[in-house]
Amino acid sequence: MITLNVNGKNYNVDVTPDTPLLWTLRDNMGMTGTKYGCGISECGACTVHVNGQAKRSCVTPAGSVVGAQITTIEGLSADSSHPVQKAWIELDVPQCGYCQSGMIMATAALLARKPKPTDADIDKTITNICRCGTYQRIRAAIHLAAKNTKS
Amino acid sequence: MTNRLEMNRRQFVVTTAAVGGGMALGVRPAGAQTAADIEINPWVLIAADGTVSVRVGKTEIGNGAVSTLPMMVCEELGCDWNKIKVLAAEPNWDMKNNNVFAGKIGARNFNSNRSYQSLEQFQQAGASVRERLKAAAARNWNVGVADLTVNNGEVIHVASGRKAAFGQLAAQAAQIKLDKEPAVKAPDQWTFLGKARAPRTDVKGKVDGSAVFGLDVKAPNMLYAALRQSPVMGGKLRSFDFNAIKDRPGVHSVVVVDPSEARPKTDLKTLYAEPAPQSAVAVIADSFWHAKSALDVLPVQWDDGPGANTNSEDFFKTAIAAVNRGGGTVNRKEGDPLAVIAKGGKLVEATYQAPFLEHALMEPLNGTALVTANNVEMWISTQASQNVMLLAAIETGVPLNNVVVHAANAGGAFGRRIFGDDARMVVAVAKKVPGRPVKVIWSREETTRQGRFNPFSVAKLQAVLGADGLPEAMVIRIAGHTPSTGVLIDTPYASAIPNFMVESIPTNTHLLTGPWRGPGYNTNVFFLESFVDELAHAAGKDPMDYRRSLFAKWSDPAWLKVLNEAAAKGEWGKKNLPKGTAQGFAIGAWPNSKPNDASIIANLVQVTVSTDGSVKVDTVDIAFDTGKVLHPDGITAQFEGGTIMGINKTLNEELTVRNGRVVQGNFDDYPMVRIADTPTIKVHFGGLTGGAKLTEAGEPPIAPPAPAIANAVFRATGKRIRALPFRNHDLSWS
Ligand code: FES
Ligand code: FES
Repeated sequence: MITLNVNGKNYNVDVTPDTPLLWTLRDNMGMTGTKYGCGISECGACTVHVNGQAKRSCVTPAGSVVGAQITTIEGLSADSSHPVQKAWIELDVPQCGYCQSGMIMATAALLARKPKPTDADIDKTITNICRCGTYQRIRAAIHLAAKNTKS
Repeated sequence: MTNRLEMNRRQFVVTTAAVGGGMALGVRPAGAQTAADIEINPWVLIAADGTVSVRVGKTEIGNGAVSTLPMMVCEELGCDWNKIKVLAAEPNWDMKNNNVFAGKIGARNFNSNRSYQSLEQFQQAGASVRERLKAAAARNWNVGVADLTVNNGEVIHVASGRKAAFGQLAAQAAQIKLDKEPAVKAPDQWTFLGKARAPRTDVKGKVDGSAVFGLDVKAPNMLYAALRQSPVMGGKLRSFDFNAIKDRPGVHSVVVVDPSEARPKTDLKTLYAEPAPQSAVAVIADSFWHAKSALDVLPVQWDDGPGANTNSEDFFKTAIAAVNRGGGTVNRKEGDPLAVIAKGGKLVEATYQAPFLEHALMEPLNGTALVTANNVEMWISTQASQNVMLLAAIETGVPLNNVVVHAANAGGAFGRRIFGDDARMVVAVAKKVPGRPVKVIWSREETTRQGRFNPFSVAKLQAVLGADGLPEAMVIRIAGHTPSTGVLIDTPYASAIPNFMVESIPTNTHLLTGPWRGPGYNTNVFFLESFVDELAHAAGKDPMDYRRSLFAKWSDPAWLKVLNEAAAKGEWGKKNLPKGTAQGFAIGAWPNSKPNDASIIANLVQVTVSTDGSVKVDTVDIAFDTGKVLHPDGITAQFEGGTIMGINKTLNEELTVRNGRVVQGNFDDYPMVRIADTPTIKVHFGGLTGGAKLTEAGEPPIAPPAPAIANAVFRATGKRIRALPFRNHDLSWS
């Protein structure tokens, strides 16, 4: 049994510390917005925030984030009002949508660190995979979110 | 096409009448329908608060179906797009409602109606509701129906400006019988379709994590299964040792899928070739992590079967020998190209190769099923939910009436989720744990290795050029696993070249294949459009002008229009590009090249090859003709995404086989382009002919990138790449 702080609440979860955070969130805590794409830190579909930093939860043991502030897509905002979510809606970014939780979480972490990212910043930081190929809209939405974020 | 539309319309009127405007049969579909939604006809429900629900049979795989179909309704109904809700027409519901969507069990149009087939049906549904709402208002206000109009969710009396919201009229409208169905608007009367930018109806759940994909389904008391199928396709499970894992945490059991086990007799037929169950073992546990980690250490022995000891090099050797030998099935022949070649002259020939490909859907294969003696209920990401219902009944013997299938959002599909081999395996596992819902998951590696792959192929093309540099004869020989001659046999070039032949020679393997975004087309355009560029080069002609001369001899002017639009917008012939940078062009048509029946699409790309040999696509200018466009932003999104997938296929994708096993398993060895590799993609609408056709948008963008990039790389470096993917080739220069 370990205690995790997710989206501002503490949860007692019955997993061994080596269980990946991804599967802990999904199967043990019922938070399925965080997705499984590869399990080897290649695709970013499982991205969450740990103390505000983007982390790939498929390779993050649950035991390693005890005591940390974990944020998932469900906790990014109460009503899709985060500037990144709003930009995604405005530009109709998702196709199948499966990669988009991870894309949005990776972007939100980038903007928190760097409110006006350049294209080069985006290329370097947003390395998630989208098989539907929505990258062009993602880039536009990142810039839109940056523009709409009050600094 | 006109005929098809009229038939659909007759069917529509008959089946609607049979259902009688109400919910007489009393079966409620699952999904988001509430008691407040009043059914006006099987397609459209309206609630008192003005919410307009549209039922759709198509599942959402990312291409915007659950947005485009409601747009067809709204064109006629004049509703408020912000108040649209989408309900799933599920196959069991449909069957119990006289197959009002499907027409009949086993009809493919339930889930896979093409846009033009759906268009009149959904327009008709909207028009029919509009007239009922107007009739209700006319009665209330004691005015003529002809004096009423609709706009933004209200019926309006034009003369007085009096208004009533749809929600206020819904209950009355549901009771109204029309004497005759109204005619639907012709495309030139559209005010919403083809014009508006309608935000996708599914976007909200996809930005807040609430959209339910198959993998996200939760059921009380659910177990998880981690599946392993025979690593050599067609092999059989010999043995496994449950004792080695039985004490691991959370492990429930191990179940076996045995294809040779007796299955119930049935007359049911699937919509597509019935997928056979595959020999497999599955660990059942209380979480996927427990199931998967136990499966990873479960000792399993396999009989590899006939596919053992095969490898990719041999597949290619066999296919290359076949195209060199010839003598296969002649699929098309005009004139006597072999005689022209025998005579001699300026002969150009080239052999091209393309490997097996995996769909690499972002959401790995999975499904959840609860099987009992008399019922099956399941949730799955699928492109063909009715097919899943049939497969579940076939695998279990449960009567079709008792098989309920819910389609979840699919995290990609591209043809992979049509045949239902995944659905069959899910049911085959779950029936071994009767009474408990079981979520069956293929790990990424298992998903990759148990794909239904895009088949490998080899094509040898030969041409003899005449005095004007244009081909006098062309011979195309294609071999590989079930080689497709799609696009090759009816290319416009076939009509422009006096002596022409296509021959195919299957050199099949033990691998299982299936439709992969634009089957046949996705690779044959690479062969053909690379070769045409090679011919232009051999003739010393500009490749754009060379194609213009050939298309001038073809009856469908759309090809020239699309080519010219791409050439203009992409600024063909741009001067002063830096060394290593060049333009390339390619054009193709899906699913065939018949005039007025196909989507024609061209790419003009600009590519930079760095001195280290890496290939970067800088820009892609797309021109196309689908006749009409239903949703400009939607088609733009499809083309942007399909181009990225096409670029990835060109640069990166390759499955190889060693000892009968697929080598690649995950994105580390089956790489994907990322945002940093993404070119500026521009979609131009000036190639549209506006003709009668309304053709597909999802498949077309997949094929042109490969030949366009190959042609650009040749112009940039002088190196002609004839075997995909590009990352296998050294393109470095100094
Ligand atoms: S699932 Fe974690 S990076 Fe792919
Ligand atoms: S939207 Fe489908 S994988 Fe990104």
